[in-house]
Amino acid sequence: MHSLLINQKPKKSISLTALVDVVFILLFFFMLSSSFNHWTGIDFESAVSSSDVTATVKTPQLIRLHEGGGLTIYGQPNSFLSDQAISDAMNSNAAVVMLPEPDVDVQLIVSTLEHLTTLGFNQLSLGAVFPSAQQ
Amino acid sequence: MNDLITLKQSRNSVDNMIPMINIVFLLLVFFMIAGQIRASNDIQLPKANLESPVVEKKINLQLHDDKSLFMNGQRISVINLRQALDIFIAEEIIVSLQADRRVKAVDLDRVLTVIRDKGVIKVTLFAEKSGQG
Repeated sequence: MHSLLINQKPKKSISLTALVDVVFILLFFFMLSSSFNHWTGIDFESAVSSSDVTATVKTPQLIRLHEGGGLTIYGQPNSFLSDQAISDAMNSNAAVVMLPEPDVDVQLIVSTLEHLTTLGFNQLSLGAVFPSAQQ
Repeated sequence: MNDLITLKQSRNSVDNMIPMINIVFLLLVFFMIAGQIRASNDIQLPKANLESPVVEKKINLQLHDDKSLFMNGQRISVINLRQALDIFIAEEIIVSLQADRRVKAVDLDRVLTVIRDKGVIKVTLFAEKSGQG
């Protein structure tokens, strides 16, 4: 018993200053490198395969996205469609391929795809830009 | 007597530090749990109100505002993308695409054309939840 007590090394407590230093370094690292932005996204079928997924309609429905944000059905007169007209004119169970004009930016493409999703179109795809799709 | 005063002062300073250390620890735990560590990039993703969270896929493409294209962090030209995709395409057919919100459809289409040609079935176009950043 006596020898045990003698052999026991005195307990060394961790220096508080060193601990605080390490914790501060960790805190700064996580503060500077952390991101709180959450990603979301739109999944769409590649236009090459969208015709295969179509169950009811063989040819996918083509919709044209104009630079100002208006939508028209491909091959029909250029009058922008309202949400109701889009829902009436197109089959929501069939594939829809959106053909944007060349100068449309990605923000508008995403907003429009998102809008079409809320209208019930789930088989969305992004096709080629409009003039080259026409050629 | 002097030793006793010094010891008391030392204990006081340690006692005063404990609430600060508690707060620092809480902040540390908060940032560790709530934050996500990501490589910084200059891409301003488009905003969307979608609820579905997405994660980066094995093939991650980034299209910057200056039309530069990166594949899994490595700069690549659209021409070389065709060859680079050959390596992955057999095992992975989903591509995540982070395009800057200012990129024009014509530039996005150059990338998508290669993706389409390679037979990629699904593309996830990334966005940032509205009201953030």
